[in-house]
Amino acid sequence: MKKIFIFSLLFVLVFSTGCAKKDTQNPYEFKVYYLDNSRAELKYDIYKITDTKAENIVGRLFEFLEKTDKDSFSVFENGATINSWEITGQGVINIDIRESYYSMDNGDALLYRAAIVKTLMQVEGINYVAFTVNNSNMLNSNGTVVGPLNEASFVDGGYDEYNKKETQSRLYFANADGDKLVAGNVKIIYDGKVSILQAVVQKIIDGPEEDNAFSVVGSNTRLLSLIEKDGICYVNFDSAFLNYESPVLPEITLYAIVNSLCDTGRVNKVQFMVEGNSDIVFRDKMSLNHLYERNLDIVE
Amino acid sequence: MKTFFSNTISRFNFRRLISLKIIIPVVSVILVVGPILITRAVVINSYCSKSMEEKVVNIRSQCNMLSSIMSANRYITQQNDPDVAARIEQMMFTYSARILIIDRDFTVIRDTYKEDYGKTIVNKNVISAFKGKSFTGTNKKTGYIDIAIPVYAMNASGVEGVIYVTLQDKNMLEVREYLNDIFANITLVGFLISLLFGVGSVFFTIIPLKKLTVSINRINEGNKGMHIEGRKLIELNRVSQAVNESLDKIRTMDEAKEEFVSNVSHELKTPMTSMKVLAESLMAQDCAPVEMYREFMVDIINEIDRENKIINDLLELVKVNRAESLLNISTVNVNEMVELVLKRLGPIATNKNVELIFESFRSVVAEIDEVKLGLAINNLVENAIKYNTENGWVRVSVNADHRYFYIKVADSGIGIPANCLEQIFDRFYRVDKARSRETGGTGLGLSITKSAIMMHKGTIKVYSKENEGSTFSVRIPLHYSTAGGEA
Repeated sequence: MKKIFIFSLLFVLVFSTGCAKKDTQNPYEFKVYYLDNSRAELKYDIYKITDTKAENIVGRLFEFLEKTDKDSFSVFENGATINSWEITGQGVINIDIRESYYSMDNGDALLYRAAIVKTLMQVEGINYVAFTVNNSNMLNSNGTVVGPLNEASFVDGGYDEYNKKETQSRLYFANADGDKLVAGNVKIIYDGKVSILQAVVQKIIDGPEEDNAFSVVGSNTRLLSLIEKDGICYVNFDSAFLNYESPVLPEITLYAIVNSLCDTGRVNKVQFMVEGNSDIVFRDKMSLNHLYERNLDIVE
Repeated sequence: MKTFFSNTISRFNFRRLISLKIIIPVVSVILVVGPILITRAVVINSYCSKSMEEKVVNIRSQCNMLSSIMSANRYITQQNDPDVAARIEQMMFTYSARILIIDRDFTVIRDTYKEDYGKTIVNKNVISAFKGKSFTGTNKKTGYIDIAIPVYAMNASGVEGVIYVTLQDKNMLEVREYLNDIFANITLVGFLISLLFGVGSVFFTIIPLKKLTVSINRINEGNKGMHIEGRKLIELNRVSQAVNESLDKIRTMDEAKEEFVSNVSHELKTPMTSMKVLAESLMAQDCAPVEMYREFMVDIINEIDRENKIINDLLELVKVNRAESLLNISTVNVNEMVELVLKRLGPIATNKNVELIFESFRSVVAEIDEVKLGLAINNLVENAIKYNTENGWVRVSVNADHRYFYIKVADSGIGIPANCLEQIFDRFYRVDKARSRETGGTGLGLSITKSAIMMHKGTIKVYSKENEGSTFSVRIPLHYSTAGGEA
């Protein structure tokens, strides 16, 4: 009995330290980005820098960036070495690089920029990276200027299940009586295959997480397709959309969806369809034959 | 209830697990459900691959077309072509796909989802597309499809842009789920039917088997006279027939044993009775002359000799009948052995003026027990002489082929009636009791002979015609083997 108690105590301790590590990144650990063996992808190695001054940290990071070993290849391999760099008061680091940058392959140039930006953005006090080539603005291949970059400038990886995005959106659900809408900000996680609009509708189908909000459609409803064009969102459900015997009023169901979609800022109007058909009177009350716009009157 | 549990527990005893009650249902379930599961895996897998493949081919060809048009219309650099825009939207509607157009700096210049417009894509498939290698990626499990097609610059300066299409083949997923449901139902139905069939077969075979076991057990408990009734199932019927035959054989053997014992006691008693009669009649006479005593003594001695012979023959018979491992096999010259036998019997033949002829067609060397076979041949020749006429003949021939050697003993004697031929090899059997008593026979000679020959895995046949003579033909394998005998 004693053994079990001690063992489980140890187990809990180990587990909790592990969890702690995940949530708060060690401020002295930095990811330094390199090319992997295929030279078509970025990978990172973790290094410890026990300094607090931004300049010193950046200096060390550049040192690490220039290293190459058997699995990690420096993006400086192709030659565009740094002439000089300085950190301005607004949190921008200006980096001047050699002209040989323009003779780089466009893929290599991309990985070069991405590696440097992603590495440096981890330093507190740096918000943007601005490149200059031989003291002139860095130009794109079409002649436009490459502005200051941060992590948000890059879309990482592929549009697959391993690269998820997170966003917040205002979602509407039914109240307890089912005659008014309640709104709340909800965190939505989705991958690149699904648009934010589809993710919003799916979240409404899945149902709310708060206690004071209630589902407006059955959770077995399927969103067959969703297409947005010129601000009009065409939403196509399967027949389960009609069959939901909910205490919620039909207007509440429809406007929960309409309002949530419009609040993303990309949609003004919504066209509903069931199995491709819009010639339907939803729950004997609401005709689906016309476009629906946002309705804030029925929000609690 | 208690016995049920103890039975179940003992049934799980390792050795007992190999029961038809378990094997038949398990096998029938496996035979039905197995192929169903295999079919399901193959069908669903093939469908998924095919469905995604078709979609990929369609999209890719549209992309390639789009790429050429973009190239010709310099869409990447100028981006104001309504034709291209329309085609992109068409593809978006048709496949519910997300389409991105990416320029040389990896900037997204068009995104049908509008979210990543203006951002820079860091994706190795896009990078390799810019090197001229188009990319197609599919995931059968999730239905994800990713395609990257390069757009070549008109002035042959390489790749100026990439069309990137990403989507989820929801149709394939739905059909797959639908197929899974159907197959789940089929599997369930198949499982139930095969289980039913398996359990039914078990009842059909186990219950009759149990009944048969009960019948046999009843006989085991001592009801030797019984027979098992026939069964409905052919196989079980055969079993019960075989058991009945065994029972019959056992019964016959029992009867034969009893007969043997009674015969033996009878044979042994006869000389004793004669001796007693002789002795008593002697005693009954008050003043018998010495010659009478002498005569009766001679008779008594004869009877004792007779009794001795019977006992010796019995012992011989028992010895010969014991396990074959007591055979003393050696390489023997058969011709010499037969010659020896004839030599020994010569005097008896001369007494009756019977001619002994030895025909040796070839010299034969075989692996045999010289003593036992010698005795067997001795009995045959002795009989041939004893049951012969005055001035008759006995011909003994020895021959061989590559597998067997043959000994024939033919005589010109009184012959054996046809209806007795089958029984002459039986113990104590005599065709003419009076005659053999005269000649000093015990009725055991031929059965000893036959036993000896059978032990060598040989055969003996007899042909006879009354008043003409008899011929005994013996065939014995040249090489003694412990393998099963030949017919």
